[in-house]
Amino acid sequence: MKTGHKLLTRMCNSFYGAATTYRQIDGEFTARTYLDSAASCLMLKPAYEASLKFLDHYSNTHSDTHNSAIISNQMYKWAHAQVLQFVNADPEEYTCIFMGSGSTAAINRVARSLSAARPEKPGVLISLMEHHSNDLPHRETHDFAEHIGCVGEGVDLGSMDLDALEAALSKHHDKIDYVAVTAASNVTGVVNPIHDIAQRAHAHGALVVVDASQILAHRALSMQGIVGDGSDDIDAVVFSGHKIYAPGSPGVLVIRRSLIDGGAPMEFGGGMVDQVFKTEYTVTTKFPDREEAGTPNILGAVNLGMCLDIMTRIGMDVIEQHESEMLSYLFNEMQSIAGITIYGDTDLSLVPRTATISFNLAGVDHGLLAAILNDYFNLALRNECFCAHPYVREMILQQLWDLDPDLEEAEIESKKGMVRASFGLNNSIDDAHRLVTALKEIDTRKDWYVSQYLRSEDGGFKHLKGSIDWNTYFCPSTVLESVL
Amino acid sequence: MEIATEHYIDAKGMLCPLPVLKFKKYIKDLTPGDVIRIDTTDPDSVKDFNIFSEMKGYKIVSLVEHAKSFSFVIEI
Repeated sequence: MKTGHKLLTRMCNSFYGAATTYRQIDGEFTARTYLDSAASCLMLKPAYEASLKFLDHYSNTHSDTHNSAIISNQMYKWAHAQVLQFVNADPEEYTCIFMGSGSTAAINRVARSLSAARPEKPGVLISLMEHHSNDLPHRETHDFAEHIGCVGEGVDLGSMDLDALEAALSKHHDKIDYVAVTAASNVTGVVNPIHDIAQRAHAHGALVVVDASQILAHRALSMQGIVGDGSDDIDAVVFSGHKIYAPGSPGVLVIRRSLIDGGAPMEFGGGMVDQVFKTEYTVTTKFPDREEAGTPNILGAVNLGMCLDIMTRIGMDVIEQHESEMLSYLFNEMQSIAGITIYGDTDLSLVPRTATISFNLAGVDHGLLAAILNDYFNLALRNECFCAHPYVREMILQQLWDLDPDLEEAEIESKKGMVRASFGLNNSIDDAHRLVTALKEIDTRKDWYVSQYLRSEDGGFKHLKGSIDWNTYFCPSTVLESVL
Repeated sequence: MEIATEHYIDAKGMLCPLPVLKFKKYIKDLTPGDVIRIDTTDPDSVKDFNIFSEMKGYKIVSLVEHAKSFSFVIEI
């Protein structure tokens, strides 16, 4: 077995929370299967353990005098370098900026920066597939925003419709600041052709801003395009460290330095100035210092750097293959369950996808299905609309219209959503098998499972036997006393 | 210009998919050729009633967009 595969197999079992057990509703204690990586990932233990060793030398950056400050300064720079390397970004051309707790901060930053730097371009084009964090900031910072739909319709939506993109770019000619597009959907895992999109945008004087939050942990991404003349290179990428196995790490923006070095920084404070007088001050020209006012999230950045290093050692091709095998198995098995609807085009030869699957089971509301999977099978899945309302609505609309018009409005409301299983490095084919086994079991005894729940006032579902007493699993004071 | 119709549905304040479902429920007892006016405030309803009508072969006789609401007249 090649080293990458060996390391992957070892890493699969090396996560905080991999051995977490909960009591199922029937009283049995079983291991939890975590299938919610698209929301946030488990912590990769070896990366965090390496980061904890760094704590022996922890200090603030912004000084090169005492040893710990020197080491912390260098490690913080190392983390920036790890990011640029991971996305194949030339350090001469691109800068990496850490900010906030996830990509939301980075997207708000790039939206403000670009709209300030390019006032002659009042519009943005946003794919319909976006998480709200890669939609609303662009609407807020530009005069107009137009959404670009996907190929296909209804439950079978594919990737961004490039003809519709071309038409919108032509219609607005050179008034488009950038195209905002996710590299992979947080709902369906559908992967977009970001370099093709970049090339089309550039041909119309627009840039491309890519949300890489849902792809970087799953398959390789390169700022450099395929064509070789730079026409399809990516201008800016944002992502969340907590979605690449480093909870507690910052949001990340990788952007062409030329796009932001002419304007003013977005935040002011320590570490981003050269001189300060009572009446004026001079901002440093150094990147990323200029864009990272105040004390940064040093430990988080170091931990992210460790994760990226480990994933590079495994090889993104090995990781992609590992997850593709799980995805193919899931598609085959889930499509054999009559009542299951899988959202998004499932023809993997046409539409590449990460191992994120959103689905519904006929006759069982999404909230109830997620509750049953948790209560009876210890499977951790998320349900509802995953902060991507326009996209989810587009795919479930026909099913909503087919509902019985005599249903109560609250009941109709509770059908607006899906269940999502999102797989990552912490999962194996056994986890995929567990999900399929559970869905088949529920499908055969639907009425019984449904009868075990009451609909609560907030539209959710409550088991007849009540719900988890979380404090029995984690009580902060008890845990603190056990370590003091 | 508003068209007077015998059949009327007030779907103001309702969000997708309720306007379309209310429309489906109401037209159960009507006959082809009947004309219904439906008022909505859901911004998605413009697109929804266009798609739904096309799917079912209904005709949107008129659509009046007010400041915060929409008035459709649809022939089934």
